[in-house]
Amino acid sequence: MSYVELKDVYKRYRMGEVTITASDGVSFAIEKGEFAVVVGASGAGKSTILNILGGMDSCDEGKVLVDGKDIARFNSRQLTEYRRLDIGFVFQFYNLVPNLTAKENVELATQICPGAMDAAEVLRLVGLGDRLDNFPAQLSGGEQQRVSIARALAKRPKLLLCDEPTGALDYNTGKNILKLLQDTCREQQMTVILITHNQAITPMADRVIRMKNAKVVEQKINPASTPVEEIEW
Amino acid sequence: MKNVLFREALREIRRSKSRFFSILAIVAIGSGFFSGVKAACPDMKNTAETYLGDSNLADLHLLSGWGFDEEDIEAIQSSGDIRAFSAGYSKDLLTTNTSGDELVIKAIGYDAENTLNLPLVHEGRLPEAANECVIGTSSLDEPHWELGDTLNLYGDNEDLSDTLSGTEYTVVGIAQLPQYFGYSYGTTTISDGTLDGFILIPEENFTLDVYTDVYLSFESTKDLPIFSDEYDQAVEDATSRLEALGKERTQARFEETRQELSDGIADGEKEIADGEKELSDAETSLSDARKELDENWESYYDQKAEAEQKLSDAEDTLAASEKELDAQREKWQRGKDEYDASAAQLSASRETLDGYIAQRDALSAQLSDAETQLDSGKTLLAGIGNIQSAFSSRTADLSGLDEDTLSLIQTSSALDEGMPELLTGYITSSGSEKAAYASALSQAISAASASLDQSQQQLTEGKTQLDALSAAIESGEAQYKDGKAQLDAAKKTIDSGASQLESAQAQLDSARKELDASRKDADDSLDEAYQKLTDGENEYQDGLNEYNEKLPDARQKIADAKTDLSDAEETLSTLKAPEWYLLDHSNFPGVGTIADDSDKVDAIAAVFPVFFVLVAALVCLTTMTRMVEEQRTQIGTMKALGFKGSAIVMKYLLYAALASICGSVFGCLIGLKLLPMVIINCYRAMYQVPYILTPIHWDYLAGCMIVSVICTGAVTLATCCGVLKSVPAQLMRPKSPKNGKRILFERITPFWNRLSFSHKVTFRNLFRYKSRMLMTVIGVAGCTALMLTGFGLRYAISSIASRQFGGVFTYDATLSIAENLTDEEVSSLKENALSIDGVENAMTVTSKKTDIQSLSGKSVSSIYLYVPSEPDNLTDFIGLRDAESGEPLELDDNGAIITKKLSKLLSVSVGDTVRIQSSDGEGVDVTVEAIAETYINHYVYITPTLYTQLYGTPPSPTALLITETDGSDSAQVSSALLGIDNVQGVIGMSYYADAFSDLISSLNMIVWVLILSAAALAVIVMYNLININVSERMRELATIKVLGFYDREVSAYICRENTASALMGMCAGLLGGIWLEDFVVNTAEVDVVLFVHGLPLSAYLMAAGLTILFILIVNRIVHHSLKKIDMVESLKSVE
Repeated sequence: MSYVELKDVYKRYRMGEVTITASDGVSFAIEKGEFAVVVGASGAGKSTILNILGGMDSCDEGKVLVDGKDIARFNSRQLTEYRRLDIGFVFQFYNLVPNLTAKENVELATQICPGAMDAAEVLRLVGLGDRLDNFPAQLSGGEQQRVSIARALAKRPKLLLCDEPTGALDYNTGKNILKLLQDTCREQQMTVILITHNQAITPMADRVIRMKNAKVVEQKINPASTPVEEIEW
Repeated sequence: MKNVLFREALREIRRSKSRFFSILAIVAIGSGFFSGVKAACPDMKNTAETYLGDSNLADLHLLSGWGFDEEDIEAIQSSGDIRAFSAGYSKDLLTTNTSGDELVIKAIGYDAENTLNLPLVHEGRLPEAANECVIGTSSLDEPHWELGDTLNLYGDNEDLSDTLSGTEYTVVGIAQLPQYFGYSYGTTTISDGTLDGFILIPEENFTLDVYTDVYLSFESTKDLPIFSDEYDQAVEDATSRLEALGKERTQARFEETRQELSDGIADGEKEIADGEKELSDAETSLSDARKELDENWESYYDQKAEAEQKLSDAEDTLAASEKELDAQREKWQRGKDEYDASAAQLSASRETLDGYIAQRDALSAQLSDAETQLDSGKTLLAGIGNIQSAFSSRTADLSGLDEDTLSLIQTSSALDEGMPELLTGYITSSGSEKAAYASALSQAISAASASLDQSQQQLTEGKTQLDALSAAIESGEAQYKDGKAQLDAAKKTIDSGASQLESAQAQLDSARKELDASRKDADDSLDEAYQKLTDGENEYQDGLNEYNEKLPDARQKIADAKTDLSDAEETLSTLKAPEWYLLDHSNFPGVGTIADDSDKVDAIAAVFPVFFVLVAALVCLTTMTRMVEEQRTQIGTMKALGFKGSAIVMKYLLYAALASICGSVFGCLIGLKLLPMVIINCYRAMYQVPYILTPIHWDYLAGCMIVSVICTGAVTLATCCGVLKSVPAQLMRPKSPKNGKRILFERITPFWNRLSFSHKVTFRNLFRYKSRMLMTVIGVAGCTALMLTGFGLRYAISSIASRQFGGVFTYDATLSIAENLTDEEVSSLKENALSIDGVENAMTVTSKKTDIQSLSGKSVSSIYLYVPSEPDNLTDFIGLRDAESGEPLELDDNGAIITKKLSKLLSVSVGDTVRIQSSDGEGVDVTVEAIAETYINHYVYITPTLYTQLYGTPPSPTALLITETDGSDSAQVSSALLGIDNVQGVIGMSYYADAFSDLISSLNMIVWVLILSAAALAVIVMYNLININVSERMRELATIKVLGFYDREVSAYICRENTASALMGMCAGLLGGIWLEDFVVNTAEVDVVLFVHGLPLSAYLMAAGLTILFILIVNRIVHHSLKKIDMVESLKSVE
């Protein structure tokens, strides 16, 4: 059985009279330690999948199995616990608390999660060993995203969910961030799911899931993924 | 262009409804509260004035010890300046309510014509028939009766027949009278001394000679508001005029009464003398009667004895006579017996004689018979021989015989029976037969002749015998005749004896008869006499009984009359001119105090609402600031488009102004209607407010509107100006979130390192939004301070009663005593009071109301100069303690002890000199020896010695202070005290204490209203600020939710900051509250009352506790709103 598996997931939003189907029978599976990319245009249903996988939203039908547990059946308390212990989340806009230093932002996550890594250690891991006591405002976008990644990784999550992590970054910085993610995946056997609209990124993934109109249109495995450095867009 | 901006402003309002309404609500609460509390005092006065004016409350109430007679009335009516006048009756009586409690009520005569003190009917109607009454409204408790109930009035050991024509009344209505505006009805001299209510009964039912009450309104007070100084002045002027009139009239009445009384005493004396004389007359006549009766009895018994003697003498005589008679009768009887024997003898001899006579007569008859027979025989024989011869040869038939022959034949049978036959046969026969017959005949003739011869012989013999016999009879007859004569003589004697005896008997009988008659006569006359005497005796007994029966009554009557007389004499000797009591509004229960009470509300209200406005302004500031900052992009765009700064500002100003105007109008309308209603309703516990007038004070509304518009406008302007200073380009970029900074605390490493991560975050955040924290701190501090002040104020006021009546005035009752009593009267009064069960101690005091001045010219009026008769024992009644140290104070002759509030008002301290006004207008100077603790009224205590020194005359006592033993029944003691001579009234301390607790309970309500409103505002402020905080940090919160914070942790993340700043505010409030409380207590304090300063621990605890409760409530609300935050927020791009 796969590490992450979605089976016929449906999500519908009711907007007055109209029912919008955000997930129309989505099914895919991701193995442990894989670097998966979910790709699709705006409105293809990527974010819904992300929300459901991230335990931020629930689905109406179907199964969402993560490490053997069906999180679709979790109540809100269990979902919170799931987010707290099993999920690392990297936001497009970093979502750092401006009033906290880089270290403190990481600590925000580690202090609620038993068995988390040391904040300084993680920051050093993402290359910010010398910026521990800087406030977000004092950091560049890439550095902020690194702090964000460090915050996600520090919890030693089962799943690292990244929502357009390069969306707000320039090309080179974005590349560096993607590299960091890929390296993390490789070195720590971390299962990473990256959501993007950028087709160019797909070669670096072990598994590519293409979405369109709330459906999975293609699921393919990249037996030999390209290192980030070699990708150009 | 303006148009566009205006439309834009309206659209903005529609877009941000909640923000607009939050400003509107804050402004509404602030201004509503401010105007409402502010209006409470004028509304209360206005309500009272309207009601009292509508019901024509009299300006003055006149009472007199002796009532008012027609002349008094006339004098008052013609004294000038009288606008309205009414003279009526009232009487304090007892009755029992439906639950069986005895009540003291004032029965007031109701006259429909009366124009003053109009009753306001709450239920039912006013009395019409003589037996109908209207009961007064009672406090919030159940009414004593219901419509249709019957109540029975009775006096306090007093006959009501001179007062009322009927004592049973049916309740037909419930009404209130304006002169009893408060729920107390004053004091009385009956029962326990406190009136429980009043009833209105038709005036005609009063049968009193004089009017008891006179109510007046003056021309000079017309149209003056009754709570104004002008009014007080006018009434004061009129009062002093009437006082003069009162002196004059009472003196006249006094002289008149004294004359009447002494006349009455003379009459009474005469009456008593008459009565006594009558009594002694009756006694004399009774004893005379007795004497006479006794004499009569004596003579009766004498007479009776005499009569009896006489009768018995007569009886004796009679008995002797009877005895004699009996002896004579016996003698006579013996004679008679003798005679009878003789008579018997005589009659026996007679009988013998008669026998002889009979013998002789028989013999002679025999002889004559025999002779006759012999002669007839001889004839016959001769006839027969003729026949024999005639018929010897002839035979003849019988028929042919002549008669003689035939009769001869017939008669021949006397000779021999066969003769006739033989003759017949001889005659008739012939021949042989004739021969036979002739032989037989011849034989028969011979035989017959022989017998005849024999008879002849016998006859001769008989004749001899007869002769002998006749001779014997002859002698016997003579002898008898002698005897007979003798006997007849004896008979005669006996007969005369018998008749003698008879006459004697007759005599005796008549004598007896006579005796009986005389006895009867004597008995009759004695009986009569006896009857008469018995009648006399009965009569006497009746008289005596009547006398005895009537004697105690008569004695009692005389004794009573004597007592009355001595009473009257005493009354005359102690008779004092009555006094008129002129009672103005300050003496009408409730009317005098409502103005003060409403001023108190005003004083309390003064501080609180200002704070509310301040908080409202602060909230507006943060809200508007946030709004302007949120719209910086838009402002930038507009600026870039070329709009002038003023035009841009105008939009926000419009927004703020609209919110403020709507809020203040809305808030004022509600506040002006609601709060005075609530506050005056609280006072309904003390005052009979029949309705509540809450007019809209447009001036307040306008004021609030202007102030709030200016406040919000200024805030908006300031914020906008700050924003507009930036260039458009800067504005159009999103304002970078406030950068994180190290805070001061972090530099204190040992402290900082010890904090947990989340606390560090809290601290960081707190100082990140300093202004917001400050706002929370100020808001909560204010709320706490207000609550502390509220509790403090409550304590300050509520402690007064217990301190004043528990610590300072430890006596239980005061007796007001008549003026100008002699020392003996005073000491006997005191003795009497002490002898009452339950009275522990008593002391007379002199209490005078006067004015006082300090040398620096400050003056205080209406202070009490208090002169205890025994200063050494004062501690038993009044605990004089030093105001500062609490040490007990001793009163000495060197100077006065004054009370604390007085020293404050006069600004004098120990050692200073004060001047006390004396009655003649001159002042006396006295040194302040000490300052004593007292909370109500001002007192100057001096010793009697000092008083005498200062005024030249010794103080005359005006009151008697009483302490009661523990557990005694105050009501019983009071009613016993009222029974003592010269006592004019009793007021238990509990009366004051109760009156004061009523006041306190209503103030409590107001304080609670303020506290709760402050609390509500604090909650709103906190909620508003926390909401701004949350909305501003939405993204951050969504992020930490995504990071897996539990709801609880998310709430804590935000609320910890709020709680921390609120707690800081609370501490600040507790500190600031001390100052605020002091300020408010000083402001609210009225002149005659010293509030208890200082805060009890409980006030701090309550204020802190309530603040914490509010914080928890807000946190709870926030917790729920945080739960609703959508995590997807975190994914959105930064605007």
